[in-house]
Amino acid sequence: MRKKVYSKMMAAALAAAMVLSMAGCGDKGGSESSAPSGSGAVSSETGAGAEESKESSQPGQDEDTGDHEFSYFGSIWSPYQESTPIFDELMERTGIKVNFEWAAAEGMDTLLASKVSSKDLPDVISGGTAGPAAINDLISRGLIVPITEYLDTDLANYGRLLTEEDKLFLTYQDDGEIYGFGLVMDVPGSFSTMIRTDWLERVNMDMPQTWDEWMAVWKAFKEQDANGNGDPNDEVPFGFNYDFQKLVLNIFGMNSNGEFSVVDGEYLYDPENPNYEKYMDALREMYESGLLAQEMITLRGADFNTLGASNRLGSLVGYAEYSKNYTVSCRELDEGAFFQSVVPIQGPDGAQAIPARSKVQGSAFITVAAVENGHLEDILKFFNYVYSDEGIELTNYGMEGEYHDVVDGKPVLKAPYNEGFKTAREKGLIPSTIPFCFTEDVYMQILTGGLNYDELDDTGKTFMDGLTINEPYFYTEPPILQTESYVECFDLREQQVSLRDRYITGEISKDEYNKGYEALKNQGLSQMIEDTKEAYRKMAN
Amino acid sequence: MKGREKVPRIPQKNLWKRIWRAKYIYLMILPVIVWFLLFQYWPMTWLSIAFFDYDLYQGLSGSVFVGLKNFVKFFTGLDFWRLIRNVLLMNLYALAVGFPMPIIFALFLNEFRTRKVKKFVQTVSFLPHFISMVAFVTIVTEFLSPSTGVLAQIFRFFGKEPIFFLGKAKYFRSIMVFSGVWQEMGYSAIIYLSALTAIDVNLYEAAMADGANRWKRLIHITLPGIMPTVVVMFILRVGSLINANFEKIFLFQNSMNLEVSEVIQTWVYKRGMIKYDYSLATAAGLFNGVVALVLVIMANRFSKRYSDSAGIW
Repeated sequence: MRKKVYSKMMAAALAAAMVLSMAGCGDKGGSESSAPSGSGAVSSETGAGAEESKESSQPGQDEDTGDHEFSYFGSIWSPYQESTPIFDELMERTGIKVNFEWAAAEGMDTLLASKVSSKDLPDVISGGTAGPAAINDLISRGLIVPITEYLDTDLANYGRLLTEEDKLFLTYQDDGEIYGFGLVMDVPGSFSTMIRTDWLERVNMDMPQTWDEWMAVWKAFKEQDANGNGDPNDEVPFGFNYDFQKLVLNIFGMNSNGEFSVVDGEYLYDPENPNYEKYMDALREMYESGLLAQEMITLRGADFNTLGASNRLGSLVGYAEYSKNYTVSCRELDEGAFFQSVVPIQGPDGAQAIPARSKVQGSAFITVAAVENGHLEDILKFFNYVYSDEGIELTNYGMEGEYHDVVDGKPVLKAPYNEGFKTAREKGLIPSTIPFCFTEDVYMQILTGGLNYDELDDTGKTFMDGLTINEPYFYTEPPILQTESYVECFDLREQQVSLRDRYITGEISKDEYNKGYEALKNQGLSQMIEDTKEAYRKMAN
Repeated sequence: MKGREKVPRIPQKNLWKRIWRAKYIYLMILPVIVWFLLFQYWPMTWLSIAFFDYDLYQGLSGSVFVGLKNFVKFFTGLDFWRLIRNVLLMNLYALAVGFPMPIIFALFLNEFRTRKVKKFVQTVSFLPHFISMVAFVTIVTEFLSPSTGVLAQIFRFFGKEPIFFLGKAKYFRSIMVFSGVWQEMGYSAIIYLSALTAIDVNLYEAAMADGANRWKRLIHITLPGIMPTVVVMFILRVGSLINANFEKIFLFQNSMNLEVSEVIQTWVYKRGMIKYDYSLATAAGLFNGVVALVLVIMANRFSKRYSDSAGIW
């Protein structure tokens, strides 16, 4: 009898649990709760907006229809915060509530795909400092609103910050429209070349100037236990983040954006560039001689930073701040460690260049949902304010008295906000998770902590050097033109990269590379090459 | 002509009566049925998007019907044979190496005389199964790293230059298969261990009385005893010959091994989730499912024809 009761209870409990879990799978109704749990998505309504939302969500009350609001689905990464006093202040000043929903950068694309497929399109989509991977497809499907016509009207404050060249850079679609807006960087270039001067002393060599001298130094680093730890095999003479191939391509005369460069007015896919073969051959030789990291194809992000901080890397091209960061880290292992920022490496043919920091990025996009929801005007008004003088001051210096004081009529950041970018970002300043204008003045205030160059220590000086000494060598990267065939050929381009890497690492011969590349061209790369050339011609005219 | 034995028909009225009488049993299987309908059969209705140029925002009603265009595009694409080759080679390799391992391991465990040691070995062998895939791949990547990995240290100890295993396409399949063996061997052995416990001990006693040594008992009693289980597991395994462990492959994939690591599942993911080409991705996925079904049917027929096993159905 008892057993029967137990089995009945068990059956009922199982069925109830299943029904409850099914119910939990349903749509919760609000756009902000549609992201799968545990997927890294976080939803937040900040400040005044959050308060309003809390009040409106009380049972028995009507949902706040929000006359002035819009939803913003954006990428977030450390050290940025989901909710900051700066966001609250922006919303208060504009009278527009922004319903932020954040996604961890690595899960952004998957979440966005699920949002689009479930017709839960947010009003604004932002990939952070660059557009989400799928944005071109969304544009081609007519889901993104062009902003070209608003640059002189509703988004005039943004439009005034753009030169004709910037506008050209942002016009990367077939239809000649501008879709994205985002971070405007009014700051010095960020990339530099760095070399361990203490290693140079240890191997008794001078600062290299020409390509042959660089090669000689790298070989010496490799052969002479340059880090002095007794292991002659652990040095990596030269390194670069795998995602920044453009920093190496330019050594070989290709002023590339990583995929394309402009040669004699023609927009050229890099593998078609006459210098590409030289680049591949040189890297193959370097790899074979052990001058590059054996696992160079996996050196990106944190892995590259680990190598830089490990006292095994002799020279690199990358963000100028690496010179400071890696010096500090390496000094824990070797007191004399020092990464000196130097001018770009002179290539075998004398080319010497480095990409300037892109001034504008099309990272945020207004969707058709904003038009359908009647939020377009609010979005334009909100961001037009962000790019206004007041908005620029607020996003860069924060509120007067709290974040900065006005000295001689100029805003001066207070401690701890001027002590480092991490602290400033944590506290809400320079919020790259939304479109805004980053000024040179605030960049320098944070970089130097209010000190002048002579007052900085050697790590601060080498960082500053990295930002300033490259100016004569800067080139402006051409945009990546998102023609239909460019988007369609994403897998063919991926396979070209695979062929390139296998050639560089000695896995395949030149013949095999050429054969494979020709096959890819026949499959559609040729069409993409011609389409992008044509698109550039149209754009440049 | 052999006729099927006639099963007496249960009158409709009696059927409902019987169901009502066993209502708690049916209530217990209800969640599973609902789960299957909701998460296995309902999503299948969306396979129809393979025949449309599916517009994500307009939905099926706003999409253009294109017939077999997506299938033609998939079959005639440069990737098709590469994807098929990669997935088949990887799975055949895994079948040849990975399938017998849990059986051998279960037989090995079965021969343990010390219960505590047996339990310990069994528990340790289970553990990798419970590590999340990302953590698992990180562990393997670190282990194989030519600069900091354990294997690199061993190479250096013997005066050899470390190898960047993950950067060489020729090692990719072996890494996948042997890391899979490490991860799943212990856990997969459970089913064989349970089959071993079902073998009648009287058979062993009789064999011992007849003078059969351990090896002969293994060959003539143990292996035939677990053979039905082995056959069922084999059929299931053959059915997934064209499937691949997407998560693991995707995490191990890089530009150096792309040529051998791109399989239908990773291709579908990239087409669908990165390129948003859901229709083409679904066409590829549907093809994958149909081939898997055909393989299962074939394996089932072969097992019925060439072994004493009754197959799965």
